[in-house]
Amino acid sequence: MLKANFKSGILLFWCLSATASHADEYHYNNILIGDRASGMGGAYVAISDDPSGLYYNPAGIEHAASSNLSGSMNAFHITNTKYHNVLNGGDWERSSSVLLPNFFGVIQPLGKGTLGFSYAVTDAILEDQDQTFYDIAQQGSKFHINFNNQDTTYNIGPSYALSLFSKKLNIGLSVYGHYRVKEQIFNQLFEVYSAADTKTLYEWTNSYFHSEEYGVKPILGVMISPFDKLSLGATISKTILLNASSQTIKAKIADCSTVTEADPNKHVCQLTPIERSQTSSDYVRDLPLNVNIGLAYFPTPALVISADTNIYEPLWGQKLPLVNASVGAEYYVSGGWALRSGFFSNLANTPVLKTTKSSQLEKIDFFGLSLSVTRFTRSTSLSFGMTQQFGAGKAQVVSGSSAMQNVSASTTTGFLSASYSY
Amino acid sequence: MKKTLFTTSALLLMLHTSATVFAEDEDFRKRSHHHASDLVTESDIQTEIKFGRDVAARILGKYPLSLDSDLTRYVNLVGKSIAQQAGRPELVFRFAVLEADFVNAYSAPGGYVFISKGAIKKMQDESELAAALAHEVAHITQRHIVKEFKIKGKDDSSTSGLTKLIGGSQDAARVAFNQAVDSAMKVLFERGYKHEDEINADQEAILLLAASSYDPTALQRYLERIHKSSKTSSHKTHPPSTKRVNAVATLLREEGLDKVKYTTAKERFTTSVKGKL
Repeated sequence: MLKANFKSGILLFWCLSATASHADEYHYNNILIGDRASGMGGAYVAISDDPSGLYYNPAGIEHAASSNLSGSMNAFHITNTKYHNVLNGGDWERSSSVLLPNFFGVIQPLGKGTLGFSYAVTDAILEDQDQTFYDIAQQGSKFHINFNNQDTTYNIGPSYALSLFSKKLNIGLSVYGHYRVKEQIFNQLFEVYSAADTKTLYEWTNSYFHSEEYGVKPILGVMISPFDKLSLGATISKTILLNASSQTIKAKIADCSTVTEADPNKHVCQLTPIERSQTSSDYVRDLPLNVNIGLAYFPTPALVISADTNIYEPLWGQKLPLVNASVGAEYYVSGGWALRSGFFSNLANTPVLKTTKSSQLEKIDFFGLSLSVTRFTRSTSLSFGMTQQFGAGKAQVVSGSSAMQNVSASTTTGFLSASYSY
Repeated sequence: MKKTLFTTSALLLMLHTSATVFAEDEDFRKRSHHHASDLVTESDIQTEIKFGRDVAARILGKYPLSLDSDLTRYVNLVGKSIAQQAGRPELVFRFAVLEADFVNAYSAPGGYVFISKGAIKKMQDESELAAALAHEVAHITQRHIVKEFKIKGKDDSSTSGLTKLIGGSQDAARVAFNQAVDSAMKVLFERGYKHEDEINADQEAILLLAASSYDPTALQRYLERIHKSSKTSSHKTHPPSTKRVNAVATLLREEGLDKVKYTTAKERFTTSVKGKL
């Protein structure tokens, strides 16, 4: 019985890492890009008149106030996800913190239009976790997990925008190269005392996962001003993966005999490999078509209000598209200071979990708030701000089990950015 | 597939609609800090002069300068009398003649004005010379090139220093300055000024002529003459002369300057340029 519990415990956690993915093909707004856009909750499709517009709507860069502009942003991104009652009432908490150069973009006139080049990190996770669960199989048992997860998505590429009808209609195209690299290392050590064997039993499992994706992400944008003080923007984009590869290596070692020596803390184990597997895959994901529609209203030079709707093709066999929304505002306290704020959703693209099934994808819906303050000089701006997302949902982190866990999650991104016109 | 068709159709509809319905004024996008930065500073003026000097050097690299000191002095006297009325006392205006047979005149920001010998040959009196120079002076006083390429001075504030530190943009500014000089040369020799800037320069030139007691109709007369000439090359960088002439005539009527009889200084012009072209 003890050994049965022992093995089932290992089996459960063996599958934990593969199921509970943290970053994140399940969400589209984990990190907002650019200082002004981030401050406004990402509601930027109908504004986009600075280098971060290269990412949100390349058509907008034709409205840039300066011919030559560069912008960069550095972000400190923290995520925390807690799976409640995973095993024996214990919570599994995963956290990540990463400092990343979130965005760099530059625009300048070329020919009859505006040329741009930008780099954006659209998602990034760096988890380094060490946690111990107690009393899972029996009183006194310990389960140690050591988890390292790195997952980063990069977009980099050129853009070009043209104005038609004296800047009343703009069109723009960004062509990003897409690169995602993910690496997970998951160590698990299960430790339980066997009274029958009069010794402590150990089982150690290790898994290593590495994947890379290459692709291209064209973003076609249009921007118009149908009425005074009103701007409409729309983009259509799709990340087309051209190549992908992944490799998974798993090893499980058990049957450790403990010999107590004079030093009680010193153990000698005879470990026997009982399972090892290595698999590779070149499966290429099909990512969804994305349509963004935005509206911005500029009632005075000191105030702008904007709203975006982001529509994504349904995934995972669902019939309805995923729709995210954001609203934002910018207010100039004076010619030298501006405050920005926004609200946005970051819904999961996964289906609602059903009680009769097991190994389902997690569904955590986030809602976020952003705030930033910007100091302007004649040719520069310096912004500091943060976005905060709160999420709740369901997950099944134990493979093969239909038990569902409540999940609570939060992400915090602090950013410092600079832009320069010359 | 249906969703793709739907979204594509939506975008096409937006494009179609946009072709017929537009806002009248795009200035609503300017934010408060843009308005604040529109104020001209001493650093802006110094940068404008440096920029103009670079452009002027390129012009002189393209066409030789006339070494006729009498002709140059005469053109400078006429030009400076116009520039005195121009409202940019912080600039020193310099006028020069180019050894070129085509009909054209150029100006560079900061006060540099060039006129070709071919252009002077087409003139009949001093007021017409003053008109051509006044048009170029107006491009400078109205800062057409400076505004188009957003030429600005240095920003030495502490916030700017911190921004540069984070963004690392020092070299970029230098590169952008040189690119703007290239672009300004394209405006002068290939593309021409924006149509509204040309019309604005004509309007300002007429007022400058009147303020300097030159015949304000001189610009109209001169434009009509070169319009009739089949050998002119000025069309490459100026709006169609008919359009310009009509706009000038309208302004003269509106300002009540079409009947004013100010000096043409024909005799002085004839004496000053005789045998020098």
